[in-house]
Amino acid sequence: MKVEYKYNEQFLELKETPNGDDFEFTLTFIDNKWKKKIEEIREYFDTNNILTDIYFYIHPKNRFQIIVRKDFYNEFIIQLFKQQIVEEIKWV
Amino acid sequence: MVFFLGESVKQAPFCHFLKMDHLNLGRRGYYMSTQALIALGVFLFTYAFIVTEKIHRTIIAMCGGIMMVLLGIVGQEKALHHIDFNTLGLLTGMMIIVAITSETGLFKYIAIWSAKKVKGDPLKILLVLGTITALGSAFLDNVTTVLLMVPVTFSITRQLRVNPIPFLITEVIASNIGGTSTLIGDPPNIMLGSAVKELTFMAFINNLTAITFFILFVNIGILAFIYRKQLRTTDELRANLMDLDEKEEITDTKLLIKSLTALSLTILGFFLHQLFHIESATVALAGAFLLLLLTGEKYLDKAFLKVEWTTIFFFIGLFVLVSGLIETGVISLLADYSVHLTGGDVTSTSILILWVSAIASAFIDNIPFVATMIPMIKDMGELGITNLEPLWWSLSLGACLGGNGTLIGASANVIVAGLAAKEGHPITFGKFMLIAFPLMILSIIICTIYIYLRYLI
Repeated sequence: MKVEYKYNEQFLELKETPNGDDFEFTLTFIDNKWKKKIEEIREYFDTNNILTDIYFYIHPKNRFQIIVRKDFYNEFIIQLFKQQIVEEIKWV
Repeated sequence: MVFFLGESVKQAPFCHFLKMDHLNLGRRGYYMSTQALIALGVFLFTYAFIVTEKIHRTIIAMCGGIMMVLLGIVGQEKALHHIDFNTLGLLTGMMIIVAITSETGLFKYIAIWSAKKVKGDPLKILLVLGTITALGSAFLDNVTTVLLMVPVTFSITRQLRVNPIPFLITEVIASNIGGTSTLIGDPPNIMLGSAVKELTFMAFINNLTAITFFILFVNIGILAFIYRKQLRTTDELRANLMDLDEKEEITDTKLLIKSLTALSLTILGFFLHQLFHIESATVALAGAFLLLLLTGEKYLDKAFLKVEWTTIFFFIGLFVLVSGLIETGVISLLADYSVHLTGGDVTSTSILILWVSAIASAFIDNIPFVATMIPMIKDMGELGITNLEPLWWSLSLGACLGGNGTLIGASANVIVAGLAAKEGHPITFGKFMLIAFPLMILSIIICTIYIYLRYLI
């Protein structure tokens, strides 16, 4: 089963592309008030003692590049949902 | 068998002496009391368990130390007297400072900033990260430094899609070399600086920093040459790295300013501690508690939780363990035998210490080794070797750089290998040794030339 998600395109531009065996997300927000939420997701994954689960890269202009290991894909989407960055998720 | 509870053998009225000629200690007739034999037995038994790593080294060292007291080899009072609180204070103080500073994102900032400065070229990043690791290890604990560097290394290499193993191996080697360069860089140096009054922070800077950084650049240069074909990426990925905003990695600017202030004052304190007749532990603890004073209570629990109490208690166990050998005269006997072996010649004794320390440290923990060697070298001084300086530097260089020989030679090696394996990039014992052992031998050859030219002619 795959996860499908929806988000508000008015404040977020989200791009998901395969990156080798992993998935790469590029999230560009309209302002920097979302940075805190991304930091919370980063902190969540920082506390699990796995270094290569997710890589966060901060670019200028509120752009975040996130490389997600295949086995952490669902967990990452759930965290996006928890932080209300995505508004809807469902199994398809 | 006679036990003298709470008394050293020197003070004991009845000593059973056993002739030790059958142990091939030479023709001079070396004698050991029953107490000394028991102490040696406890020491070797403990040491064997530390080497096999079947049980955590802290538990074993503490059990060995406690056995020395329970068997009456050393009294509790004397055992406490042998615990070097300067070493423990210095380690604890620095661990507190690092625990708080690591919260600020400073290391991530430095790593990304440096990677961008070399335009995202993987080969140059290898050189830069190696140098940063060495510099970090010169002032912080090696394990802490690699623990801070490894995540950011994975991050940068993943961004550039290059193999992280060359970077990790370089950082391990750089960490052990960098730690050799200062009094506070590596536990053997901390122990040496604490045990020998003349070996101040500045003495380490004057005698070891230049040679260790020369060795560092030779090592990193060779590693860059070996791995050059694996260190290639695309222009697109480099451009992506160049676009990163490293300033955003700083999570708490106020905390960063406080941490850097405390860290700078502490390092300044190390440079000046001899001038003000202050021990290095006082400097480190003053820095740590100044930082806690500035940051407030909320960091107190966090910082104390991050202090490696297992390492602190490992030291305590070792100090008591070695005190058994000192008090029963085993160390004096070994020193006497070594002097006899080298004919008391300072040149051959220095070279012997350098090479034996390096080979031993490649396979066993250098901390118990140095703990045993320090009183032995002191005894050599009493036995007629007047110039001990080359012996101390030989011990430091051999014990610290020897750790690069194998994957189990130093704590930083084991930690990085463990992390790499967990993340799907295993560094095998053979793979590491194939590269690191010849580099370690080369480093010790350079040290031999240095020791000879600087101190022995």
